[in-house]
Amino acid sequence: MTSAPSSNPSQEPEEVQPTELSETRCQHEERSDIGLSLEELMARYLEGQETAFEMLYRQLTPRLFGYLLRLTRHRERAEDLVQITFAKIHRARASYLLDAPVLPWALAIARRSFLDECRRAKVRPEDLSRDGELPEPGARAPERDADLAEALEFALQRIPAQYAEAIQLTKITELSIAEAATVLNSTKAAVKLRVHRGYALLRKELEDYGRHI
Amino acid sequence: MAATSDPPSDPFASLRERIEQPSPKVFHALQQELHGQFQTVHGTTRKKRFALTALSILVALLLTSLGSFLRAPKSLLLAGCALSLGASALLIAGLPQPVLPNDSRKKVSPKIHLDITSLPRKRMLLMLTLMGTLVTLALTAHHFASMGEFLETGAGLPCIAHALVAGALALCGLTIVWRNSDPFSPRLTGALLGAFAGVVGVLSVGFSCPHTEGFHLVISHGIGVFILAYLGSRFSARALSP
Repeated sequence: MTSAPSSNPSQEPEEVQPTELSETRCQHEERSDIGLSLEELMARYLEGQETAFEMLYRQLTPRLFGYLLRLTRHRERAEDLVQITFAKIHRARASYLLDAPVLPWALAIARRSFLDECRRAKVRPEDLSRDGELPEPGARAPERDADLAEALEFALQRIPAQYAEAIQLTKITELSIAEAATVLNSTKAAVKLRVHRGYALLRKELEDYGRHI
Repeated sequence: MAATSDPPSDPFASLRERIEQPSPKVFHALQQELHGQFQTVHGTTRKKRFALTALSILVALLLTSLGSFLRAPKSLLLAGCALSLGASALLIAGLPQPVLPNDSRKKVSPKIHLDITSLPRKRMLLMLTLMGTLVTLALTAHHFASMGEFLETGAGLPCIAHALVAGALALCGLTIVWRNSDPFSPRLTGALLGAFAGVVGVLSVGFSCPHTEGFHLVISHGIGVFILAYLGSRFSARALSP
């Protein structure tokens, strides 16, 4: 791990400050020197090219980390899981089906790693605080005129996890319904329903803050 | 109350614009962990997986019924070969479904047809395999004696053992071929591999067992399919998920 394993469920969840280490998509794409798809990078990585692994890491990490950050609501745990996920990807690369989509595969490995860690810690994914109580949502309520992104982040934490996950995969990570269903080990119909219901709940949450979607 | 503006057309665009990055130490730690491990490996293809799956089924069948296999009628030999090829094809082709390359939500080269696994198909395939095996065994029976008579003859324990051993061997081979392949639904895939391995066991015991009574075929020969499906979902699943 990057440091001593930090998956201590009794730690207070670290408040997420996404703006500290964020960069805009344009800046990220400018810095990226790749014209290759994830699948092409994966093929080169299988040939043993370490630079391809680095490029794959740079392309995958923003989406993997964002996904894990919203699952765990804890920056250090999310970083540990990113490391675990890439280590698993490395060990399983010989079993990767050539030309299969890389992003759903990587997200599924990340999700399984998160669930395995929860099971090992013998706590529910919501995590317990030191008192054994369910924690309050990590982020504080945004101001009424807050940035829509902050309001959405806050609202996503308040709706049921299964709806938030479906919305994140389809609306933020931009997977198709079929791909999201694969990652969530569910059916397309179920994912559509979760997205629909989650959207309705999000709208209601945001209306309380004078925002509309 | 803050003045409300028109709702944005895509409210999630602002979240997508945010790029979250872990600290650089994550990548450095990965580099240290994976240092010197970037050898060339060959990713698997559908043809390779199909061939290895068929081979592991055939090998398990041969090893567990070699003597009777050679004496078996041609129809059974053909059935064995057809089983291994058909099972392999079903596992390979029946599980994934193609993602259309011109899906506008995904920037995909139009040359690439990408597959993703299909949960409903896997479930259907599993049910068909389990029920289909029992129905086939029942249909091939010459007659059905009473349950009491079946139990008095020892319930066919040697046949159960033979089917389980043959199936377990096939399951080991299939698990090795399919290891690390399924982070999506490893338990369901494990159950599917177990069910197919169970069918191998049914065929293997069928080569040597002369009984044609219905309860014997369905229970003594067929119960292994369910047991191995369960074992696959519990134990093989751990190897299937990276």
